[in-house]
Amino acid sequence: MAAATGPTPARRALFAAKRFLLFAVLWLVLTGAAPDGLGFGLAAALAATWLSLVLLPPGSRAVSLFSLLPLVPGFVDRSIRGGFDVAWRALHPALPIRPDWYVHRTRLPPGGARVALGSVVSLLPGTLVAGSFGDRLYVHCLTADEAIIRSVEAEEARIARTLSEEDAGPERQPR
Amino acid sequence: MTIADWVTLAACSLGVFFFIAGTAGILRFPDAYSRLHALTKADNLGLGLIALGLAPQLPDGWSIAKLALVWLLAVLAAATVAQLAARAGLRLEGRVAHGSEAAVSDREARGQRG
Repeated sequence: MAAATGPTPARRALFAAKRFLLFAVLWLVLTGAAPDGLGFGLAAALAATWLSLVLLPPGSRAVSLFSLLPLVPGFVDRSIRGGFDVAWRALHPALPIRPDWYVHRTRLPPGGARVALGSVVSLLPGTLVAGSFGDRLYVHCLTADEAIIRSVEAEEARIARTLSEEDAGPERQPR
Repeated sequence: MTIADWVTLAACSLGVFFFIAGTAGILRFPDAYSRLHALTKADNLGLGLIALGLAPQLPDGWSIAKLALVWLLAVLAAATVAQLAARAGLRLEGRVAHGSEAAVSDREARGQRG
């Protein structure tokens, strides 16, 4: 939910430049910045930029992945806790799990925001998203309890807050 | 052994532990969805720890960046595939019709809890 108007030419150029930078860095990483490959890298990055603009054009309502970047440390923290949680349950002799489903009605707009919510909830301890059907997110829980539902709602609120702050002004520091 | 070697030994051992735990989950958990939990979460953490452990052994920053990229792509792929597999499972079981509003279970009618 960025600006309501369509992207201006300047915005489009900036968008293309960002994509190009991403692919260029990717090439450098893959080749270890080998000097004799730089020419090929330039051509490959330009071609990849063109292709990505065709396949995923910059829409005015698209959620920028970069806007979700401040959430990454939290993702890492929760994915570590998620890993410990499931490892403990898998190795525990009594197998302390009680699998069940929880259907979450999301308030987030379709597209990137919902995908982000699905990915984050899948990282949380004890929850896994089986995709969204309409505004319903099908969450599979290893142990269905109120804490799980609260944590899904907390993640949704966090993402919604990040998005609304992006709308309010890119200078503001999220969180 | 240098400090870097000890870091490698510790992080990789812990990483292997999580892969073993994830495998135990795949074998012991009762249904496909629960197994996906083990597959995504424990193995992602295990791969992250192994990547972390290998980083000090690499010659330059570019190689470390490449290792980080491998981990990132594996995590993204695992998260996406787990969601798609679970989604396909729901459809196979006929619990959710294609893109429909059908309920996963009758519990949904009672409210939030599933």
